[in-house]
Amino acid sequence: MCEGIGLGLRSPIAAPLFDGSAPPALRWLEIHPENYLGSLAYGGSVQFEARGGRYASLLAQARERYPLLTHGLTMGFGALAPFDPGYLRALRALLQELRAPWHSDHLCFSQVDEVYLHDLLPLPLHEEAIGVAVQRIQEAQDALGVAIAVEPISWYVRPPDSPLDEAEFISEILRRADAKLLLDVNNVYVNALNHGFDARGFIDKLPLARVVQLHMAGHHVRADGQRIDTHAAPISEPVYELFDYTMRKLARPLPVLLERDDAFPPFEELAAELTRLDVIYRRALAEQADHRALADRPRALP
Amino acid sequence: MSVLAAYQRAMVSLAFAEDDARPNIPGFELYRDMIRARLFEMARLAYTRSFPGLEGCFARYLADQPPASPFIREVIAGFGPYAERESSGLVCSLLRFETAKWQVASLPYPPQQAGELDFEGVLVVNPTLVRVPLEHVVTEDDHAEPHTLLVYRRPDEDGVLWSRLPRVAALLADDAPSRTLSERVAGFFARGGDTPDEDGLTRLADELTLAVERGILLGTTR
Repeated sequence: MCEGIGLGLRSPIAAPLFDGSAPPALRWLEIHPENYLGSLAYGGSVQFEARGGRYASLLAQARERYPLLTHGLTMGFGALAPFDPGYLRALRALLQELRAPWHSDHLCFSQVDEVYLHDLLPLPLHEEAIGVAVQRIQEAQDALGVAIAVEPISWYVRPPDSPLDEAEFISEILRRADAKLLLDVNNVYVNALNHGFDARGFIDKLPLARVVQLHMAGHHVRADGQRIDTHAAPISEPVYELFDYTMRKLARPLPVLLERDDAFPPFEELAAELTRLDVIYRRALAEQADHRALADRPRALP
Repeated sequence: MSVLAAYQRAMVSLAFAEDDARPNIPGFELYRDMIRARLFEMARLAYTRSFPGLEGCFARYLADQPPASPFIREVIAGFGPYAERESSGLVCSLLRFETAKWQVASLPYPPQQAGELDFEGVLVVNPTLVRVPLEHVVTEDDHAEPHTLLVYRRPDEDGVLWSRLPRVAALLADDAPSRTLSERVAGFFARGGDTPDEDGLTRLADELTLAVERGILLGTTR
């Protein structure tokens, strides 16, 4: 069971995870399945098998030492076409091997017809997009045999023809697809700053009972003030504060991931971030336990 | 076409069309920049030596063959063969060599069963081995004339290795998996791979020994 603070498994920061120098706060790892599957060895045919080389050995080491969660990068649930069945078969096999409790990917589109964009593009907030996302999520749930957790993305331009409110758009998709929510706290903060809304109010409007996992990351601030979700900087103070707020609202154990994908600092800095997340996480849970204890305390009869 | 489909297809054009052909979609240029920056960065990583000067070719590659794999590393691997068509001389050899290294790094290495080399057995070859025919020198120990590099990975190591063993490369060129080693050797001499005498046999035996030591050949099986 994955609970507490986790870290994304990335090759440049892998060594300390396996040599005993990871902090006690680190409880689990998250992997991108795309790093461990491939098709090139089979002449480009739609047949996917485990990838060899450095990534295969990383995965083997990770499985020995940590519980794992999976987080995809290419199955944006807003794709108009159904997912490649060969890819789904390979992903299902990997998820079964890892005994993944759920699989997460993004509420966006990353594929159009046969073309992969290799990025997360925003969906228009309208009814047609809701219908497409619900269908894709249900197809993924059926094909993969695990629950799907949906992560709303950072977005930089509101797509045309978007009459709906984003929180309502997300909630409606989750409700109709009966899906789980992976809430990226940094994404909420970045979007709130870029588009001028209240981050806490946004979180309040989400169906928090569906949240199974949180993501935390750093972002880049451009000269013009726009925030870009890079996962290549330390977590900023306001995002820590929003995490604290979110944990108090959730008030239950769940996995919380530190995502770092680039500009890797010395591992001690990542360890400090993991430890700080763990302190906030534990404090929120402890306070909730105190509240429960107070509520359950026997009262004197009048 | 639905509004959603039109929007998504416009994003594909925005991302991958060449500079002078991209649609004007106000506000979305940032997405083009992000998508392309990631792909260009990875291409530079894969084609360390050949990429400088090929940036325009890479842009044409993305426009002609937009990414068709969910694995970004496979998108990058497709650039070498594409760029070869627009290149010549040393650059072609470099592209071929760097494509092979990039691919071999990720090829699966399933368990292999092989005994010691037996001339009546069938060769068991390293499953990651790629034969790379080259016209130009791409590594320090290469020779100038056309030759074949054997690019491979050992099962317990991450790094990609390469060897120039012309006789072994010629033996392996005989692409008939069920042929015994002695049949391959006979074919090698019949094609003029070396002089069919004791010296020629010794040179071949020396290379076979090296190939086994380096993990290129794993042995034979009956």
